[in-house]
Parts: sequence; structure tokens; C-alpha cells
Amino acid sequence: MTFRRQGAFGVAVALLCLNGASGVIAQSDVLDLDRIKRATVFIMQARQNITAPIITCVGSGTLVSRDGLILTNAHNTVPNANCPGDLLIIALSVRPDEPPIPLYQAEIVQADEGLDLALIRIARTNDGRLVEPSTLALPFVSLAESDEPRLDTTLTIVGYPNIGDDAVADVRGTIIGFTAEPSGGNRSWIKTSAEIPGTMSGGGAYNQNGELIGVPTTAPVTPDSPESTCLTLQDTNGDGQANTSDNCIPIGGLINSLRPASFVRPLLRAASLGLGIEFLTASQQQQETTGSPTFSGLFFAPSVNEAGLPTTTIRSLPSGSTSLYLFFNYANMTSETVYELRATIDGILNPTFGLSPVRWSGGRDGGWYVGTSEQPLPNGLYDFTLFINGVASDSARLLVGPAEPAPSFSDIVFGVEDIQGNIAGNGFVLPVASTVSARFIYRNMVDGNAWAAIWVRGGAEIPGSRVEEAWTFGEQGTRTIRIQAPSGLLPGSYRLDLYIDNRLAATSNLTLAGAQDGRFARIFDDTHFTTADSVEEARTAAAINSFSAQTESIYALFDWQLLAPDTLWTVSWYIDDQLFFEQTLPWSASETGENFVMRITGRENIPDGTYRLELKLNNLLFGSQSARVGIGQLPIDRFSNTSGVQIIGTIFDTYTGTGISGAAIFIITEDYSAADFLRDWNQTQVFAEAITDRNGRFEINRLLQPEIQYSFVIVADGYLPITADGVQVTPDDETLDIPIYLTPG
Amino acid sequence: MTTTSRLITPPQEDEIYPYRRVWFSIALEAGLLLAICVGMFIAFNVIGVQLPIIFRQVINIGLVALPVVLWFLFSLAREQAVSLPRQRMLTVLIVTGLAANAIGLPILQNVFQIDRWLPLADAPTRLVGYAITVGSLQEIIKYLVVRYTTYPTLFRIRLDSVAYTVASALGYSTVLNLQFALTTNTDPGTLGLEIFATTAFHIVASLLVAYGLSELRFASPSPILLPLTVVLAALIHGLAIPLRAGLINAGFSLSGGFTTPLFGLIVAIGLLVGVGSTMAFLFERAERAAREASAESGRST
Amino acid sequence: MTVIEVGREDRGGLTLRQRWSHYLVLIYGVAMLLISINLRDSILYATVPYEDVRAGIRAFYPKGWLLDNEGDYVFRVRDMTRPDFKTTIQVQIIPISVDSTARNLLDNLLLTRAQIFGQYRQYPRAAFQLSDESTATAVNYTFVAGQDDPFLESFPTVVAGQDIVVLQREQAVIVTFQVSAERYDQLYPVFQTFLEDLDF
Repeated sequence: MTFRRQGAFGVAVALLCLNGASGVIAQSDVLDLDRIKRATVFIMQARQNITAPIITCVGSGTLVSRDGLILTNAHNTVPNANCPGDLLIIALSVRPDEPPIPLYQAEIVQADEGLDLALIRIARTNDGRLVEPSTLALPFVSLAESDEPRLDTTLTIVGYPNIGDDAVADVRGTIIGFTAEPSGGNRSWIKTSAEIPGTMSGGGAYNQNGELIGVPTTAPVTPDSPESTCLTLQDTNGDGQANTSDNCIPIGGLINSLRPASFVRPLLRAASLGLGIEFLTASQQQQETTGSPTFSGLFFAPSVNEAGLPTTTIRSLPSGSTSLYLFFNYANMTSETVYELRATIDGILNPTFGLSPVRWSGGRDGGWYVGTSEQPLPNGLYDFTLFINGVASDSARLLVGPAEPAPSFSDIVFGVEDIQGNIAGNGFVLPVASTVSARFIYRNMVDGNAWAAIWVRGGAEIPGSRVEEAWTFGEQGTRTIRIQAPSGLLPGSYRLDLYIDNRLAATSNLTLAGAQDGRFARIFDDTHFTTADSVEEARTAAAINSFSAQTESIYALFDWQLLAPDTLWTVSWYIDDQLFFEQTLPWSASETGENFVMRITGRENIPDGTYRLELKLNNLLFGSQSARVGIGQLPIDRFSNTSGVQIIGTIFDTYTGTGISGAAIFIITEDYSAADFLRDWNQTQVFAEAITDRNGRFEINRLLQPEIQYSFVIVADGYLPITADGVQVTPDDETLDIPIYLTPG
Repeated sequence: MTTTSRLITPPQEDEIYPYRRVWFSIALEAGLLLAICVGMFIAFNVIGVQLPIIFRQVINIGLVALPVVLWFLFSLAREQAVSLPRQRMLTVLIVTGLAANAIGLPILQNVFQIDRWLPLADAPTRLVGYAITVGSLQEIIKYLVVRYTTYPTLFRIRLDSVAYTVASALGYSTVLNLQFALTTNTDPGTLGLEIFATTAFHIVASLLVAYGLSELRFASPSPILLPLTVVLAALIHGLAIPLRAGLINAGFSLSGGFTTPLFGLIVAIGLLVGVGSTMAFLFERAERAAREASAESGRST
Repeated sequence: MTVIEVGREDRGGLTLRQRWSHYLVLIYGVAMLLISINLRDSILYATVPYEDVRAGIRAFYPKGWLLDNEGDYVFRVRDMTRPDFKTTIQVQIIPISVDSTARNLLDNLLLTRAQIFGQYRQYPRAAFQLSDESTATAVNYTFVAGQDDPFLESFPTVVAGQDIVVLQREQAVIVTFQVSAERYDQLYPVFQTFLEDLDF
């Protein structure tokens, strides 16, 4: 390349870098930290006492709607053993550099104790007066649209670092990894390098665009745990001293895990629309736990399949691996159980591959995994220890590094076998039949290796199903085994364990349910909607797929067959293709039946939209139905936009220089001028309005959009009005603080 | 020897003007008032001089009294230096001030309640509104004071009307300025501009009424001339007040809404110079016409 | 040349011309006083017509007040230029049963408002005669109103209000007037004028 060309190339590269840098700078300028801090609240759970409320738990929260919906954790808001309060007090950062001031009381709207997420809504003022949500115009944040935050993304975590003594604070960090769990797949948790104080749990983690991408979450362990922190603040027993005899407030340790915003979205949608789902056929109460929670049967897998099952089991992992899953069995777990995974590499604690104490989001008994993916695993000896409520439960060890290839089984797939010997079906949920086949891949096997296959149902080996023999099928390939029952296999959950030399080499689960429909299972049938005055009437009412607006409730019904009790099934509800409810629960109705009834209700009526019900097992769809309410589309929420420019300011008297109290500022929509407004004085022409306080301060709580020309009208008693047309903000503006001087008339 | 007598003509004596030169006094007082007020504005609003609150209040009171002090120095004191001083000048000033405080302000605030409806009205309504409320009330009060304390006895020359109506204007404007200073407690710079504008508007309006009074005293105009000058004087207020307030009033932009007090000052200066010079011309023309008429009648006899 | 007469004092006698000029100025003054009051009233008490055909309401509300149809009322107008509480007139229609009485309705209003307004207190109810000589029920009350925005500092205002309740067929018409307590007497005539022109 000639010198001239080199120079030109260098200039081009420099320009590209500058352009990229300016793009980065411009992006970082989008993060409106002031607004986010104002939208971050401090939550105190309390219980009523004769004289004063007693604080039981504290945490942070984030306003996610202008009418007072707050996103936070469930562990410090929903009453439970550690946090037994029934009163939620919301404190706001009225002044950004000062501790928050309690202003409101809130009520729980939606909660998922397993995910440790809750949505609460401001309902009353401190003195107990009802607050009409439409009168609130609070700053709020929006959830990130994308579900895919990337590694090394810069995060800003906002919350309260203390028990309300300090102003709202922010902590910076980056995304260093993701933790997988069955409840949410490979991105059940976002791991961050930031060290987040425990009281920031429930706050928000934001990307550079100011969008909420996760909720810092940690559950404080029980006060009697050796690692717990519990602060005594009040004399709760009335003995005249505030000491260890009094109730204390549990505080979690440092947080490095965030619940992704994708978990929040359905809850938020249901809460903001006021939608609720009731199961009217079977009781959904879980059986009482009969013993202490335990973990057992730890093993590792390099990956999971689409059903959330291990592809194989391993005892070591080759260098350069980027995913690892720790599987284990659990028993007697509840949603209030706090579990934790600590990982060390060569004896050194590594938080990237662990999980800070969080609430249990699985069922009572079953299998679970915690994993990591898209993350290079350094070579070394890994020790994983599981803790329950702060007490070590079980551990397992794994070597990452060069290893000799070992015999392995993997990728177990179940199905119905055809004449040619091909496995058909969807792999993990099959219709009830007399024969089920399982095919698996084998590698590095040596003829003569001892191998075994054991079929398990309901935790017990199926008699006569075991295969134990010497391997004679070659070094690698696929093999198919079967289980048969002439009278038909019973519906329910099955497991196949494959062993090599008495070591578990692979395992996978299978569900048998429903009747045969070709090669697939027909489990749910006649899914339909209707409206009725009672459950009994709904069972006989005709199916409807289009409901009028203002419908108060809708019934959803379906038939089912051959669904064994305790089989996990998933109900998902969508509105306009957006999920607003999803729950996986054990089947507790009869094995076969008709008219399983659910009911969907709204705050007053069902909002207009297209509703869809999906019924799944093992993430596979087995029933679906849609219905339309009203116009079949959600109305546009004109207040839900968080991008734009906020206008605040002060109105002064020209002569005295003091603020004018009670002055009104109107921002007129682009369709009208200031003169139109002063002629008509009609609320429909108003985009936003504000009234000054006693210092002349005002805040416009609706954000102005660039490229729209607004008109401004400012009036006050005894002063000449100020009007302006064609006022336009620019995309670079954030919050504009405007001084305005009014002249007496 | 022969002697002849020679008449020695006596030395020519300059005619001594026996009255205080009113226009000169008004111009001097207005000029000094303008200079001091603008100086205050520059000091406090441009340079940003800061004073303790007690000093500020003292300066404010001093500013309120300034037009009267200047009038004392360059009008009232000078009256004593001429051979034919005008009487009851101070009486006119004081009585007008008392009438303003006792009658004018209470009617404006409690009966007309202009703060409630005029600021938000449209421009034509504001012009008419200020003219028929503020303008008419103020000019009627000033006229009545002059009429019943000096007219017609003390009107010896045309310019007597100017002297007395200006005294009345100062009395009224001083009360308004005092009320403004005490209620707003504003900075001396802003107060200075307000004082100059208020005083200027009142002087300008009074000059119009002075013309009507002098013509009625020394000529034979239509009976409607005097009421017409009162109406015009009221219109001066109706035009000046909203115009000045409108020019001072802030515009709006996303960087803020800031007032432009100097525009208001320009309106006051413009009115004072424009109307003042016009009225001076009219007075001079009336005087000249009267002199010519007198000379004609003297020659004819 | 100006004629000067020395030593002879004019005793203040006016010529006919001067006298008439003076009278004309006085007449002008009185006329302007009356016109000013009239102009003030015509602007302060100017009204704008409003009609809601579906609700069967026709009214004239004060000009320059902000009209709002977006709540659970037929319409509401507020004087946004007031420095304290924005004086409000509101017309609301509530469905009732044939057995409902005005007392039931007002009791419900009291219970609802007591949960929303601070220090809400209702005073004894009285009969109220409307302009069409029909009888309604009037109730006066007070409460404390504050700024909804928690980030601003405002002193709360004591608000005085009056509800006029009329039961007709299966609906109740509630006409509400709320104003800062210290201006209640001053601004009540505005509400009276509104009631006189209200038709439902």
C-alpha cells in the first residue's frame, strides 16, 4: 500500500472510531439517571402495632407505571415467615441527595414468590386516604424490549444502599455471565460484576438506554442462620430497650444476580391491565411439606435439551467448554426456601459460576439444575456446594481441563417406534401406550463395558424393566431400548437412567399422557371460551370466540384424558400475543375428565384484546384457543412512553423575584395553537399540565417527544400570560429546567 | 458760545421673565430621574451589585422619593427665586397624593378589581379596559384636585396649567410608586425603571389635561375640548400600561422565559419625549397666537 | 402677548364655557365608572354554553375555565388561574334505584370522599330551591386539598364545597361547587349564576 493510501486508510479508520465513540457517548447520554433515581422507591414492610407500625423488612423497588405500579421482590413484600408484615410503606426520594420520605402505602397486585418478583400498587397516602391511580403522575421506567442482554454490557444498578438512612445510590458494573435454571432457561439470572448491597434487592439494573433489564435479587437467609445479618431498629417488645430481644430486619448480603426483565413482563402486563386468572376446577394448594428441604443426587451435564433435560452426564469437562449444568434432586422445598450455590475453582470462590441466595422457584419435589452457558470455563478443579437457608446441603466436584475421552451415553430421546424402527413423537411427552422406546447415542464404548438401563416411575424402579449386561454394540452409534406393558403403561412421569460401570452416564425424563393421535398425544381437547353467571352455567354454555366490550369475566374450559396426578403442566395466557400469565403446576384433578374451568377477570371489565390460552407439558403445546374481546386490540396507553424530554422549572415574579404559587402551565398538543387553547380552554387540547408549588416549582410529568411541535401557555392570577407556539425539543435533551418570569398585568 | 441739547437714550433693559421656566424644569427633572434610574438598573441588574436587605429598602424609599425631591429642587425651590412665583404647588401635590391613596387605589383594587380580569383579556380589551378604569379614574382625580385648588384663580399664564398638573401627576405617581415598592420589595434597578415609567406616564397624561385647562382659561374653545383632553389622557394610560407590560413580558423558549425591562423603558422615554415635545409645541403656538392677537388689537386701537 | 393683571384677584368665577366643560368632565367620570363596572362584570361573569345531548344537560359555564369531559362526570370546569385551589364546578350523573333517596346518595358520597379527601367533613343538609322552583338537596362540606405531585412542596388548602343533589327518574344529578374556603363567599355568585342557567 502506498504511503498516501496508508494515510487515507488511517484517516478513515480514525473517523470510524470517532463516529463509533461519539455513538457510544451519545448512547451513554441517554441514561437519565436523575429520572431513574426519582423512580426508585424504598419499601418498608411493616405490621400494625397499637402505637406505631413495626418495620419487618426493607428493600428497594422501581416505579414501572405513572399511576403507581412498583416492581420489587416478593420476599420482602408478600407476607412470609421471615417478613410477616401486612403493611407496605413506600418512601420516595423527594430530594435526590436526601434519604427517602415515606409518602404512600401500597398493596400487592401480582406476585410470584418463586421468581421472587412482586408488583405492588400505591393505594393510599400515609394517613390512610385512598389514592386514585389516575391522579398520580409519578416518574417511572420502562422495561427493555429485547430479552437478550449481552455479555460485557455496562449496567447501572439503582437502589437504596442502606436501611433508609442514605439517599438513593447507583452502582456500575458489567454483565459477566448468565445462570440457567429450569424456571427460565439459560438466562434465568444475569450475573454482574457490580457489588450490590443487599438492601438494593428489588431495585433496578439499567442498560445505557435507561431501560430496566433486570432486578437485583437476593433473599436474606433466616435470622438464625450463621451467615445472616439482622438489624434491630425498634423496641418492638416494649421493654424500653432496642436490643436483640426485639424483632430485627433481615438484610441480605452482597448481590451479583439480577432477575431478567423478561420475567417481569407478564406480571406487569397482568397488573397494569388488572387481569386475574382463577382455577375453578381443582385445588392448587400444594401438599404440606413433611420434612426439611434437601438436595441430593448431584451430577453434571454439559448441556440441556429443549425439554430442559441433561444431554448426558459428565465427570469432567474438556478445556474451552462454555457451558456446564449441575443437576440435582430436591425434596420438601417451598417458595420461601432460600437456596444458594457457591462455586470455587481450585479453592478460590468464584461468584460468576455460583448463585447468591435466592428464593426457590421450583416445585416441592423433583429435579432441578443450575447452569451457565456462553461463558468460557477456566481450567481447574470446580467445587459446587448447595446451601439451603444458609446451611450447606450437598456438594459435587468437577475437573475442567484436558481429559481422556471416556465412554458416554447422551441425547436420550423417547418416542413411539414405527415398523422401520424410527422413533417418532415429540420426544418427551408421549401418548399412553403399551410400548415406549428410547434411543440414545453412545461414544467411546468398549465391548465388555458393564452398562445398565433402569426405568423409573414415581421415584421407584419399574419392576422387570432393568437391563444389565456387557456392552456388545461397538464403539459408537445409536441404540434403542424399550419398555413394554401389555396392559398399557400407566400415565405419569417416567425416568430412564443409563449407567456405565455403575456410574450414571445419562438420564432423561418422559411423560406419558393423553390418548394416541397418530404418533402424538392428545391430552387436552375441546378448549373453548364462554361467558356465564356461574361455573355450573359455564360448563353447559355454548362456546364463544368473540365477546363484547365491557365483558366482566370469561370462562375457559377444556377436557382432558389420561393425565396422571402430579404431572407438571403449564398454563399460559396471552393478550395480543403478549404473555401475561404463566404457571407450571402439578396436575391435581382426576386422570380423565371434562370441563376443567378457569376464569379470567379484569379490574372492572376485561380489557379489549385478543386472548389466547395455551396448555403445555414439558414446553410442548397440547392445546390452544383464542377469543376476541371488544375490538380485539388493547387500547393505546398514551402515558406509557418513557422516552422523551421532561420539562421542569420555576416560575418567578419579575419584580419580586420570588416563585409564584399556583401558576398553571399547559402544554398544548400539536393539533392546536396557544390561541386556540386560550379561546376554547378545553382539556382535550392539553398534552400535559402542571401547577407550581409554593416555591414556584413545577414538573411536567409527561415526556415531550422530539419532532413534535407543542404550544405552551402559562397563566397565573394577576399576571400577563405567556404563550409560545412551535416549541420543539431535540433528541439530545434530557430534563430541561426552565426559569420563567411573569409580569404583573 | 452756542450749546445744543442731546437726548440720551436710556440703556436697553432685557425683559426679565417673571415666571419659572416650566419646560426647562420638567426636562431637567425627567433627565436626572432617567439617568439615576438607568444607573440603578445598570448597577443592580447588569453589574449585579448586591446589598444587604436593609440598605436595599432604604435605597428603594429614596428612589420613590426621588421624583418629588427633584421637583422640590428644580421646580418648587425655583419658584421662590422668580418674581411671580406660583402658589399652592405643594398643596396640589399633597392633596393629589392623598386622593390617590384614599380614593384611587381602593376603587381600583376593590371595585374595578382589574387584577382579576384585565391581565388575561385580549389586547383590544386591555387597551380599552385600562383606559376606562385606570386611566379615567386617575385623570379624573388629578383634574378635580387641580380644578378645585387652583383653577381658575391661580392660572395667570398658560404654563401655570403645566406646572400645576405636573405637580398633581407627581403626587399621584409617588403614591403608586410607594405602593409598588412596599408590596414587591424588588431590587433598586427594577424599581427605578418602574418609577420612571409610572412618573413619565402620569406627566404625559397631565400635559394633555393641562392643555385643555389652559385653553379653557385663556381662549374660547369648545366646551368639549377639556373633556376630550381628559379622555386622551386616559387613553395614554390605556395604551402605555399594556404596551409597556407586554413589551416587558417574557417570551418563552426552552432556555427560559426572561423579561425585557429595557423595552418598557423605551416606551416611557418615547411617550415622554414625543408627547412632551408635542404639547410644548402646542403651548408655544397657543402663546404665539395669543401674542399676535394682542398685538393686532393693540395696533387697531 | 399675555395680559397680566396685578393687584386684582379673580374670585374664581367661571364662565359658562368653563362651567360646562367642567360638567362634561364630571359626566365623563361618572360614565366611565359605570362602564368600567359593566365591563368588569361582562368579562368576569362571561359564560360559554355547554350541551351534552346524551346526558340531557345544558349549561353555561364561566368563560376561561378549563372544560374537562374525561372523568366519571358529565363535565367539569375549573378556574386554572386561581393561585390556590382551582375553583371547580362539576356535573355528575349517578344511576340510582327507585328506592334511593337523596340521603342515601349523600351518605355514599360522604363515605367515598372521606376515604379520598383529607379532613373531609360534611355539614347538615338543607333543601335548596332551583331556578325552576323545583326542590333539591344541598349539602356543604370542607376538606383539605394538597398537591398530588410528591416531588413538589405545597401547603394544603382548605376547600369549601357545596353539592346540589336532584333525583329524577332513575338517576341523580349532582352539581358540585368547590372553592378555596376563604373565597367561598366571594365566588359563590358564580355558582349561583351557573345554577340558574343549568338545564337538565
